[in-house]
Amino acid sequence: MRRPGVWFGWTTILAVVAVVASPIVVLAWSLIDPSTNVWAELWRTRLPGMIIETALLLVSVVFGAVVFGTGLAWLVSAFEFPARRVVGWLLVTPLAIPGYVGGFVWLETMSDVVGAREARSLWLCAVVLVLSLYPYVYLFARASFVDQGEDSLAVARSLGAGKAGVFFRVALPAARPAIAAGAALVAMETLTDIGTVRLFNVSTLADGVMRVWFGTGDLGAATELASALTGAAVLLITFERLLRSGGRRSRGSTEAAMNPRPLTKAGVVAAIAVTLAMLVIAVGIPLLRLFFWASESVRAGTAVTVAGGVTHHLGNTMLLAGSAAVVSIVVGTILALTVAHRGRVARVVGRISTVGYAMPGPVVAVGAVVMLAALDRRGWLPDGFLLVGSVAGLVFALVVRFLAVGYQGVEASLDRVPTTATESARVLGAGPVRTAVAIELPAARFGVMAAFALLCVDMVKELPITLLLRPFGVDTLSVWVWQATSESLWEQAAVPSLVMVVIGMFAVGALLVALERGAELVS
Amino acid sequence: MMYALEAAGLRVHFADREVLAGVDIAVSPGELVTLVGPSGCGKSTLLRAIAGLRAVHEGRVSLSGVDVTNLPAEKRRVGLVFQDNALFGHLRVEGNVAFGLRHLPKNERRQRVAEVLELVKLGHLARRYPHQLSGGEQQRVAVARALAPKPAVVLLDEPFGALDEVLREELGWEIREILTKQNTAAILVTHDRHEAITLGDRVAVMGGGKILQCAPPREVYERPINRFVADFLAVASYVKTESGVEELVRPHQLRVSAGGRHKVLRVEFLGATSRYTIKAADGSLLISDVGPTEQLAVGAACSVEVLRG
Repeated sequence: MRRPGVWFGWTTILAVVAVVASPIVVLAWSLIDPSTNVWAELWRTRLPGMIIETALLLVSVVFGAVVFGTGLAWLVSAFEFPARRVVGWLLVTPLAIPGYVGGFVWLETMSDVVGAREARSLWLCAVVLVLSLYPYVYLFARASFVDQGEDSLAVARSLGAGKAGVFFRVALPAARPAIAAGAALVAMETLTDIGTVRLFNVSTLADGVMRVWFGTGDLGAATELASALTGAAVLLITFERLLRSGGRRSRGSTEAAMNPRPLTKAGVVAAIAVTLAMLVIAVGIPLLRLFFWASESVRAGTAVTVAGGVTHHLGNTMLLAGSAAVVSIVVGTILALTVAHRGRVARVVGRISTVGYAMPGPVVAVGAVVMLAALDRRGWLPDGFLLVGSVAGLVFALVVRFLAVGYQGVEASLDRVPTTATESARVLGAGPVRTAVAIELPAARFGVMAAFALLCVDMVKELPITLLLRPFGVDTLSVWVWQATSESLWEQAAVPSLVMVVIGMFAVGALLVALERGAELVS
Repeated sequence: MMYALEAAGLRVHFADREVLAGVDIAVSPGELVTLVGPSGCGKSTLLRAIAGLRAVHEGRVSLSGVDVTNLPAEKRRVGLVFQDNALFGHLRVEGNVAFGLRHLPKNERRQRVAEVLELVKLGHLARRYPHQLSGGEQQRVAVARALAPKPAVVLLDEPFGALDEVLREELGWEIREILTKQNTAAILVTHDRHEAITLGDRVAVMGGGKILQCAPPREVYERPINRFVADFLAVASYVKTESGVEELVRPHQLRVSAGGRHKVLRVEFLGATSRYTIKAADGSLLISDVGPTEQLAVGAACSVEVLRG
């Protein structure tokens, strides 16, 4: 059958994929000729240590996030206790607190307890990252638990599985793919993090890329390190794919969603204590300390930088993060709609556009700079206008990095639109564009909303790309926090941190509403 | 003789709605009771209460003479089969069947799995994952999994609901035979009345949270205790006798002849017979499967006669 708009569709897909994947391709190209002396020097000095610290941090953060994310998800989906629903939502809110914000709060707090030197440890860094990243695992695991449905758990019980048996023998193995997906996000965030690890003096590969760039300005060496980082990311993705394979089952059409079981009195107390402790540690204490510091800072008149006050930074964050999020969701939605129902090939090609998400931020930044600089040298743009160091260049790099969040989120919800609905629309005379606008988009609207909310969270707290590519004099909230905390000026970092957390809370709220209305996180 | 399952006076209510209003049911070993009733009448709740998945507010449940009312589901050893098979997607067929056999040593477990899979004729698919099987095969695995730990009773909640008609009939008979062979008691919930009267040793009709009648199919079909049961189980007409009492007449007991005071309203071709819907002179509707060799046209005048014996 000849589909109308075939050429238009494929042109769109290929154009988006080409533009978005180009920085990565450029980077790969530059690796064909590695500068061996830089490499040898790195290998002789810092690289082994970086690899070990990266691996240690990665393993402990992923382990912690999986244990807490999965455990809490099971608690709120399988058992009934007072305020279960509210707690279930609140447990997602740590997502609004960037790791480096929670990081400096806990660094200062623990410095008072164990001393400043001891507080700057890999282990405390891991704890802080777990606190800010476990919600990814939590969200995925909870969705999977609820979707397993009542019947298979009932059968397991009738076959002799008690409370623990139902969890370890049925619910947990069945949720493995979802947990793996959440854990992969946590791993990626950890691998890419530069703000938190810098606070705790943990020298990871991502940190190395930043240091080499800032310290020596040697793009070649930074690229070498970036490739090592990319290697680690690729390994992670492969590992996640392996974990995801195997049989799976989701709830049947006539089967009820998981029904929480009542707990004993002691169980209720324990459930409330555990969730409350998590909320106090991950959200309560950081917020309280930030409020305290922020008011001190305002009173002392230090809530301002050379670049300007809160409004200046907030305005820049809104402009940069906002436009990058809008571009990502628009392009992501168009791409998802174009790819939908176009078959496997289109899907695989579409996936290429998500490559940036698998790349650590500093790597994307390096790739974008290399590519934009090459374009600038061609002199195609009007005199005096350069892409490197422009708002457009920064937004481009951010979109390359995060397009996947928009694309995959929308795709997951589009997958749930029954083919019969779109086919009915076509038979009734609607062309592909009208079908997309009138049928698919409305059906996936909460998926779009959830994806946009996640994009906002990611963009607002993004550090490495913004730091490396921001135009001169355009500082965002995250840059302010970075600059203040790298000089241990906690109080001065409090005001921008608090503003970021508030934006993040709104985004998390929107995400929760979207999920409640049936948005899907993964396909 | 000891019943495999005996439930007495079961009451369950949600808020102020009584879902089970005192249910009594007893099933002997090897006996299959089919359970029918309009949706929302409490069928599924009854199964869940017997399995221990739903707490009862009143009443007792005994399995093979042992009172299990206060035992949790995992200690009762009841077999469960759902419409959506509820197989564990992360386990192979053999893993699903072995799930309830953890108490057995390894070689005995393997032996029992092979035995039960042979019973449902799926020995060759043991290494497959559930999603690699057809709907009918999945449902057989679900039955094998339920039977493996030798439960006192197997509860089947519309097990064939998702299958096509030919397959359902075939699988229904096969599972019936397996249950008889294993001497296992079973309750089978169905919304298919035909299935209910053909498969069951006894048919239980539920309505309003109670079992209204539980008896062999012929008895329930021919001597329903009230009009609700009569209408629910099969098509029925009511003919006034000379004494003025309304008598239940099934379509095969009513013969239509040409000419008379009644009128043919509709004729449905059923294959072996034709079903006539007749508007009687007094305005009531009569349904008959026994017509004259020459078919009557819609609108034709006719008369009816009740066939005895």
